[in-house]
Amino acid sequence: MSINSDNKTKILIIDDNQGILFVMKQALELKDHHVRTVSSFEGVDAIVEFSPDIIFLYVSLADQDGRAVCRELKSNNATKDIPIIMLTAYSDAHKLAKEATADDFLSKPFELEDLWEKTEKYTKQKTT
Amino acid sequence: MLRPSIFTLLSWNKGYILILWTNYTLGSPTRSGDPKDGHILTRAIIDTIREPLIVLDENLRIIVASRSFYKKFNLTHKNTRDKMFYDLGNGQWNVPALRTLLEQVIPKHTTVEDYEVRHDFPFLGSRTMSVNALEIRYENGRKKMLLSIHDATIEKNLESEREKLMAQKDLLLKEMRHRIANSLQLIASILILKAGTVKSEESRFHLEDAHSRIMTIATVQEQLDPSTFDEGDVMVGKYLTALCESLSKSMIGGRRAITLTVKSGKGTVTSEEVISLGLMTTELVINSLKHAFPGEKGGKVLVTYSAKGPKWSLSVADNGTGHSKKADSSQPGLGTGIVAALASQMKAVIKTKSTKLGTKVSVTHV
Repeated sequence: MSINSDNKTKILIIDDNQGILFVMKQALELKDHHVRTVSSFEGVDAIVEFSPDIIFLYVSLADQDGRAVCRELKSNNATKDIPIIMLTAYSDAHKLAKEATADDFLSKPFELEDLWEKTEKYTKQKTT
Repeated sequence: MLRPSIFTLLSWNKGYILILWTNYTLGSPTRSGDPKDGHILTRAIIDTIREPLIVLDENLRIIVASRSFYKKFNLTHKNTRDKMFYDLGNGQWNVPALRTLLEQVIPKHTTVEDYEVRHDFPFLGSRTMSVNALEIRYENGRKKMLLSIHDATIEKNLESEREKLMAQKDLLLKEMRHRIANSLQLIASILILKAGTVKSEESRFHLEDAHSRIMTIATVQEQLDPSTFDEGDVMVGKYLTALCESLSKSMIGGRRAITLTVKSGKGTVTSEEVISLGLMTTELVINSLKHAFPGEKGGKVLVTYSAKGPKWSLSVADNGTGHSKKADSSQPGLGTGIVAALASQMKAVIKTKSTKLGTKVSVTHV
């Protein structure tokens, strides 16, 4: 797990919809996570700098293909071990996530319970 | 004795049905011995054909071509007769695809239909030609070849344009799906976040209520594939299962010892019908959760759907305390009203059976 002084799980959300970023941040902060939101992929260096424990990544970013971003992160030694959960509205979400080499997916619109469960799952995996 | 001649073969040419049995073969003498009669008749028939038509000998030299061929490709009888087909119009027909057709395909198959040739013709520009070809083999071993050439450029362009528009349509539908999903996500999340902050149990329940109704619609969206948007058929069992999972999470969570299960047969309905079924299910489940299990009492709620032909039945049954006499006599609530309206719209009948062992509400379409 990444080092942070208050032991909170660090979560990065990449989605081009500000409303979604807001509600997801609110929901995750309710569970006492440290959340950063961005509307586009800012490069591997930015990810490494923040050093998240989990990344939620939207598949259809405005000017980027979320799948390509995921593949880039998964092929880089500095970021390949960070669990990436794809956010998507496509009906074949599990297939998309597999193609992108993501660890998991959440189909929009999802229950916040599902969001919390996935976060819990990948937080526990990191600590074991 | 009648022998099949070129005229019966013309019946295969698109748009023309002309069957004429004669004892003439192309170029052969008539009974009177005058070969000109055969030529004149053949010529006349070829000239009436709307599509460009050419007759070639076994060395691929032009014997005769139709008037429409000359007109279409800016040629004359004078500059085509006895010429090699490939040499016509300063070699504009010397196209690799055509050479393959004439020298390899036809000798193997004798008949070819809709062979596509794309070429940049100096006079016509870029064109897609659809060629029908037929090899005629005489008893004496000699051969002739018939070529009918249809300019399919406009059709091909329209087809290509249609494919582009379909691809654009799919893209737009996907984009629309994303926007709807984002909007529903936003509203549903705001409601449930708000529900978590209110102190009043009743207010919380109403917010969760509203959230569940939105997720009912949202769950339909998930089941719809943009590529079949126009058809809109949804598998009812799959939909109700996903819906009840969502209702369980938002309305029950880990707070109460109530299980919500679905039992459904196979069957599909339109997206419009499934929304109605989903909304009725949501209302009936909310009713059960609200009234059947007072206090911290646990229990079971079962959603059942079955269909046979046009008949279907949806029921929500719980093993709770049943309706009280007071509840029976009071005015129906919003949820009951919604169920009644939707059932009426779907031409279904509602039946309620309530005892101390539980309540079952059935909505049946016969």
